[in-house]
Amino acid sequence: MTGFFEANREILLFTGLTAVKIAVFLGAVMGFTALLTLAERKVSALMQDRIGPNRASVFGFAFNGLFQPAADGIKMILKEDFMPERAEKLFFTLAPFFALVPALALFAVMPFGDYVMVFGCRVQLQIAELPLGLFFVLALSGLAIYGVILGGWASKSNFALLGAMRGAAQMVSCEVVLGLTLVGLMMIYGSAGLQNMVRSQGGLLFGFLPAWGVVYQPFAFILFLTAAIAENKRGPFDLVEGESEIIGYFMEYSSMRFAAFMFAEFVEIVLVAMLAATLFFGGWQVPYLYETGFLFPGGAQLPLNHYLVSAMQVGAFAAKTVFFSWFLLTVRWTLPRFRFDQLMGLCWKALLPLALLNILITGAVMKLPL
Amino acid sequence: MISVKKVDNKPLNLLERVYLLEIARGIAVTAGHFFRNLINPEGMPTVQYPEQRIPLPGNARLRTRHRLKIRADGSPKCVACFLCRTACPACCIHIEAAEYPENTVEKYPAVFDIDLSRCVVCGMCVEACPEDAIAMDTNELPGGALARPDMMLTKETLLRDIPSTGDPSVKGASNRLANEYLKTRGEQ
Amino acid sequence: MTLTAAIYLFGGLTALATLLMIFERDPVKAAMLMLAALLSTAGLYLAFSAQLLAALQIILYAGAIMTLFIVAITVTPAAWRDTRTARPAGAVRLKARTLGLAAAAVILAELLKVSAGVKTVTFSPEFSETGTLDLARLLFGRFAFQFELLSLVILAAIVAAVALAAKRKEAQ
Repeated sequence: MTGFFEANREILLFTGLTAVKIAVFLGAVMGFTALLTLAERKVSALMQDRIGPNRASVFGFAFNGLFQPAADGIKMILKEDFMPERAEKLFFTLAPFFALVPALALFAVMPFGDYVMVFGCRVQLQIAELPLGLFFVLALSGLAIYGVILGGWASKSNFALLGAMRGAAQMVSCEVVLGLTLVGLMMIYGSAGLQNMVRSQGGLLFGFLPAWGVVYQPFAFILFLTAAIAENKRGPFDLVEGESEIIGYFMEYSSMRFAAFMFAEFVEIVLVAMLAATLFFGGWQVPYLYETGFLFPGGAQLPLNHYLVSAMQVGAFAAKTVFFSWFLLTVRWTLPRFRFDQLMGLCWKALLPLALLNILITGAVMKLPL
Repeated sequence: MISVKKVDNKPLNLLERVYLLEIARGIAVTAGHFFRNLINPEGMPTVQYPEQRIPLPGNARLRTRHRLKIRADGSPKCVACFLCRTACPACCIHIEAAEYPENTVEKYPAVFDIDLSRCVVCGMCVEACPEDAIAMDTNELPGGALARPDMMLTKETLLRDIPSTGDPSVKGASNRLANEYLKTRGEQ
Repeated sequence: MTLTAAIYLFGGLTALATLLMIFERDPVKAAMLMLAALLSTAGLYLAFSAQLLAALQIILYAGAIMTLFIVAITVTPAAWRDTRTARPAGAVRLKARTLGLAAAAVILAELLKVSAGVKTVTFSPEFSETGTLDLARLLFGRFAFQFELLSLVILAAIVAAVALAAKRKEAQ
């Protein structure tokens, strides 16, 4: 028995570590996503001078609505699981999985910290260190379309199909723009691995400015955010599920199947927030914080313990994620919904040429002898 | 005829067509509200309704929960004429008439139910009543209930005479018939 | 060992999904099986440690092309018909089967020729870095005919799409 462990020490350690990382990171993400469903309602309420949900209580303690996600979950489980008579049973059942699984799988490549030393072992704070992480992100986010199409078609409802058609056209168009906006970043960092990209953002520009992606590519950031929100099917591009007109591809869904679609949407908010933080805002980088501690541009130093530095970096990543999640919610509750032709025009006539132009200019600037 | 109003919108300038500045301004407004309310939740106008209430304006147009008025002897002023039931657009009033055994002049309602879950609080019953027997001046808002039977107002609940002291409804012109009848019995 | 198992697993899945797709009558189910075949092909590329190829396979084929296919198919009358409908007449079926089998035989023969040729190619150890280039040289050089022959499949798909869309007028 010991012989087996000795012989496979590497692979067992790797498997165990990965399992722990998945459990911790995915657990944190799921918890945050559940809170985000509450945050969406609270943020929208606060910006409209309302209070929002604050009644769900356990033994009389409501904590200003903190138990609302749990109440929602229990309600969703207890609802009738309805399926239209003419629905395609197989695809109707599969569609929520198609929506949820790619979104969750994408967290595998998110670097949520640099590394920590555990019992003299260097543990990377990223579940899967893919050298082509960015391509992985693009590939899997493209697969999320199938949940929309299948859900819309399999329920055999005209409104659902309309939502699915809109969704497919929108996501394919925006996927193109999304991929192209990231090309400029890949050119600058010379890598498509997310951890490498974050490491490249650790330096300083002109001696004081943190060398984050947004400093190099401010224009690409705006394009990326627009395309990512559209890809995410959130307002102002939520015409896939426009509540006031067609309800959307999940119209015939109820109970936990519907909850899976809804949860996938919120998971995607977290994803977009994490991607924006990772690619354009330095991921887990804290300005002026290096492996040994702070080193300010004036020359002042503040040496710090390794664990403190790691904790600060993970905290910085979490804070950036929270900020961008809040920003996406704010955008959704601020802007009116686009019309379908307006969105298509925006994607193909404005964002796509601008993204191509961005690549051109980036390439030209990089070739300049500076 | 549908009248068409032509709106003369001024064309957007370049900065507005790029849309980014306008988005930023919009987000500034909403984020301003968000943070103001986050820091100072007391400043929001929302009232936590069942526990916390704002006083009702109390003007002449205020319509609150119904009540039936009573006479000095405690009998209902209502003569079961069914006019309120006829006037009610929501059909929420149910009346069953009965006769006093010793009084052949007028009827009284044996059953008078108002289904608050159907009532639209329009006040037409009050206007229709020839006897001024029904009023909507209890200052109680017909609130929510956990079951439909809780929303049914029976005669007993309706006859709770809320402004008990000095209620002008006890005397008044509209119960002339009853007063005359009572006079013949020598009780007043 | 694990890698070989993965190669056989994904290869088998690809073959299985493709076969099922060919014999599937429901157009949407066929398209989904094709998606499964494309995804397991991507898995196969990964097992060969050609990561870029796998990613592009998913982005282009599964993410974009199949999406459009499936959207187009889901709005055809065929996808909204009840599944129990009348089958085509015997003569038409026979003709279609003969033609289909003939086309399949030709493509299979050419593919076998290609795979015999590919076996002789020695991959450089840094295949994942430069393999794309080798692959391109082979595809557009030595096996250009077989590669172009595969585009017949796309032609067949276009014809089939027209046929599916034309059914509507017939019904009216």
